[in-house]
Amino acid sequence: MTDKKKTPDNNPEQFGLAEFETGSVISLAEFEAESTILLDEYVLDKSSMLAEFEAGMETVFIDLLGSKNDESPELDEDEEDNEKEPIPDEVEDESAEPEDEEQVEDTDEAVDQAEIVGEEIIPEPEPVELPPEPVREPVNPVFGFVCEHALDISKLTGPGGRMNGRRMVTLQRVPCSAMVKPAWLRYALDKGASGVFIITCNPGACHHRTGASITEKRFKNQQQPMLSDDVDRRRVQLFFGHPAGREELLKKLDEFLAVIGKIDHAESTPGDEAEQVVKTDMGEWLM
Amino acid sequence: MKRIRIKSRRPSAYVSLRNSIGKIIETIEYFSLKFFGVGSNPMALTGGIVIAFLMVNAVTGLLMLLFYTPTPELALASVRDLTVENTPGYLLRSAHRASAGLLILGLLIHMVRVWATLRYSGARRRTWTAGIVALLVLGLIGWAGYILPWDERAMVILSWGREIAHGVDRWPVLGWFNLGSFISTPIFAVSNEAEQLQRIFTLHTGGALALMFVLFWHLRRVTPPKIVLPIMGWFGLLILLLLVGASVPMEHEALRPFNPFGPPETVKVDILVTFPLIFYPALKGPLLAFLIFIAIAVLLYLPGLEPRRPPTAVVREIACTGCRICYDDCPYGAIEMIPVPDASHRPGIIEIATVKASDCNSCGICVGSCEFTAIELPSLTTYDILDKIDHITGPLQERM
Repeated sequence: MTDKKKTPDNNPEQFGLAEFETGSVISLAEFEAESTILLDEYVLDKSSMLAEFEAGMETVFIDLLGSKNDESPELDEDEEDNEKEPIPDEVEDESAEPEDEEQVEDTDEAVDQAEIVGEEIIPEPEPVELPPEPVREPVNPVFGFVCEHALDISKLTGPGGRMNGRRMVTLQRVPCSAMVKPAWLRYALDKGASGVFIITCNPGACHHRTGASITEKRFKNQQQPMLSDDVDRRRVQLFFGHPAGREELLKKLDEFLAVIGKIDHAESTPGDEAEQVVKTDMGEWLM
Repeated sequence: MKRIRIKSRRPSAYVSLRNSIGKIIETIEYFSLKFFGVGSNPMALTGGIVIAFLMVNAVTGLLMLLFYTPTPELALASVRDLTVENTPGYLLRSAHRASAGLLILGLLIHMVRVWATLRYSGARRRTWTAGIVALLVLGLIGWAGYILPWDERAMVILSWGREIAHGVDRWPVLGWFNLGSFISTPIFAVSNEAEQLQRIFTLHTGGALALMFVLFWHLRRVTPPKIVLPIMGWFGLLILLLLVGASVPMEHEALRPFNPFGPPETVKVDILVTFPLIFYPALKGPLLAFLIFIAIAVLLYLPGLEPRRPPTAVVREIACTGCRICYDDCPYGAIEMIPVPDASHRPGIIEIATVKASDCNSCGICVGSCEFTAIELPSLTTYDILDKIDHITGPLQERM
């Protein structure tokens, strides 16, 4: 690169945010020291920057908001040309035509021009498209109690109540969802199950009239016996099913399994990521 | 090696029919739930809607009693005065008639839903039987109600009723009751039109009272019964009554005096209540009586076609603390609290739960209510569940 560029100092303490704002080249080692670099409102995360490094590109930080700093670097023509090339046509303004750029000289006026041109020609940073997060299966088995009037599980399960297509889920048919003791849920979780759920009739169409509403009240801690407070509520779910709404119910079940899978994965991963997942996945416990 | 052959039985035509209708009902119920919400789902409140129409009928009937004169000479005139000359009276009678028709419609939907979704078997059979009896009483009340105006239609319905009663009189056991004499032959050596109308009037009003007792029997084991509609439900019923009353206005010309020589086909038919009149006079009274008898017998026998219920819940008396949670939660009133048999050995415990097997539907709600494993379903105990959980998580425990 050229002499006009500021080369990064190898001491990370001296390599502050001001230098990032004024424009500089940093090494990969320094870059890795900073996991996230904030340029005002722009967040360039580590993964996208690493991808650029891997592609053999030099990462140049330019003041995206107009460089109000007096120590803004002077850019030579070659560098300007290099920066202008990838700019898409729709971003360019009429005042930043290529003919004008050739006439820019290394004078004060030219510097001003460069700054102006620099303001106008810098494209919007393209949004970083991260690959979709893979749906993770729960690490441990998930146990579900299903009211026999809410969902016919005979075609959904194989031997032992193992659910077809959802190998971590085991279903147990019960005559009514209100038969399920809250202690059973806790027992399953204590035994190491990743999650436990109940599929009950809709309270407005319960086969045994009050079973669904009793189950709901128990789970909302409005009626005895209740689920104890030390149970991880994120791993317990109550679904209101209906024989005519099977697909909708299975979709919600898959969402629940995905949440449990994420929690399992997060809890097995140390650090901030675990906390982040836990915070974002709290959600509503009941439907 | 012993071979076990599992017979796979194809569902009978009856079961297939019931399941098909059940799926239709469930689909309607599902979309009804989506539209009306949990608390106002009319499909789950069919029983309550029928009760609500009964209440409308009772209130309007009581008000109409103030204007009705149960004598052959004045009955038709009083009804005409109420209906033709008086707008509030017209609305009153219109509401009485419309609610009677909607009552029959709601009752049919209620019965079909209960039958098709298997809510009538097991311990609910007695509730079903009480419902059939209520249907019979309701039919009698309706039949008597259409005679009260003492007009041409009343005479047709009355004569058809006489035919039915005389047909029943020829039957072996029911004939002993001599039902035909109730309508047409002298009782206490007195028989005239006035006496007949008086009996019919008593049957209509007294039948309503009898219906209350039958409904009490019907709802005795339904705890708590959903007979109180939400406010929006009452608004909906009011709108329905107005719509039916406006779309099917009462025909004033139907209130014609009885003409014994007039053609019977001129009789107006209310589809929902007097629909059997469509078959009059082709369907003779004895045949109609036989058909009614067969229909009732089939309805009463239907629960017997369903599979037997699993064993009922069992209480371990030694573990019961008498907390009454199962007693409060049981939707069939099958739990009773009895004094502790050995009170001296169990200080602090006054009563314990016991299960009335005849009322238990093996739903297991009481099992979920008990924190002490004092009540269990023999077909699926707590230990079965815990064993299964252990079996599922067993490999996990070993891995850990």
